[in-house]
Amino acid sequence: MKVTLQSVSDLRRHFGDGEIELDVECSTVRELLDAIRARYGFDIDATPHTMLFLNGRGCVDHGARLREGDHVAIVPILAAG
Amino acid sequence: MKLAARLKELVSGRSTDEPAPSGGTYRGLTIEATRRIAEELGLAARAVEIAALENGIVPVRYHRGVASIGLEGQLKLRRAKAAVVGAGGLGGTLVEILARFGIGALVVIDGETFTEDNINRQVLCTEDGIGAGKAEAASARVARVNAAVDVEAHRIYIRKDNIDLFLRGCDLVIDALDSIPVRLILQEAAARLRIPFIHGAVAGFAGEVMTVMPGDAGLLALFGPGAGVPRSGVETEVGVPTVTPAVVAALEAMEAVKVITGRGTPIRNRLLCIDLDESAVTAVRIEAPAGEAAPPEA
Repeated sequence: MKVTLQSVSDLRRHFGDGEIELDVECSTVRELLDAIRARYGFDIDATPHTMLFLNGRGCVDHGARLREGDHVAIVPILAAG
Repeated sequence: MKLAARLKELVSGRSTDEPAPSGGTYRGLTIEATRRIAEELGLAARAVEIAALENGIVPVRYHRGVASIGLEGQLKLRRAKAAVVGAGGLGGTLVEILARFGIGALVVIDGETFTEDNINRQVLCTEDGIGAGKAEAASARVARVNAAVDVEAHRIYIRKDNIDLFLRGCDLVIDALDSIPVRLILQEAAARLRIPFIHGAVAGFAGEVMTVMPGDAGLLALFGPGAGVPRSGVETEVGVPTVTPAVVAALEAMEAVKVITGRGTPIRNRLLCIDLDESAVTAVRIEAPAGEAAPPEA
């Protein structure tokens, strides 16, 4: 399944580019995150202050189903003003 | 003679030919002329400047900006009232920029006072101002930069049950806060009052900006009900260096100018993410429809 992975700010350094296309065997967000950890060494569960978007929406349900062509973004949480 | 006619007569009569950078001249009204007319007629300086612009006369202090946004754009700015909520790193620079741009009125809200560790990034904080109220400092700064801007300063912390009182009558609400839960309260109030809301946040050398029009999901797409709203972000690890609030506040100010004047394309349904280390700007799309909750908690 092909999924687009977008990352911003410091997080993009884990992936070499701000937007990459992943071809992975996975059916849920959890499985995608496991594949990302295996391939890039990036563990979102061990990275505090990080949020994940699935197709433009904040996603905390890592059991959510993935579909071909889905867009996943990993973004740092910023709160200072 | 009626007041409006007298005002028109005075701004026309006391306008002067001013040199334009492109060569030639334009009809301008100086700060001193504006003050005198305001005193003579018992009006606010803002009303005098609005009358000048309505008659094709440019207050000299805005001339370089008018070349970019036009007389009509400047008039819209002079008539506009914006709330800046938070007067720290983002808010201090926002107030400075908006006053110089010629916003008509500002409502500045911040319950805090300055502490020594604010100095690195909060332009309103000075060595002799430690302990002073941030909202009051903003008001004092605007009075020095552009006394033709009306300012209301409120040293209060916003809550669900008091925010509407301060936002009513504003054309725009600008987020310069440092708390995600309070940002959500502010966006909710802006939506309820049908006021455009401009979000900005910073941490380390990263920043983000988004314009949320009434009905847009905005921050609810990021931190909707059930999503477990975090209180803080990565700034707890990486701090906030001097440059980041200045950059993000400038982008928020530009969003304000876009919304008020109708020029350009606001950053809507996108979260604009700025990485100053890499000089990279990335837009992350936001697609949650208005009123729809974010996905439930896992």
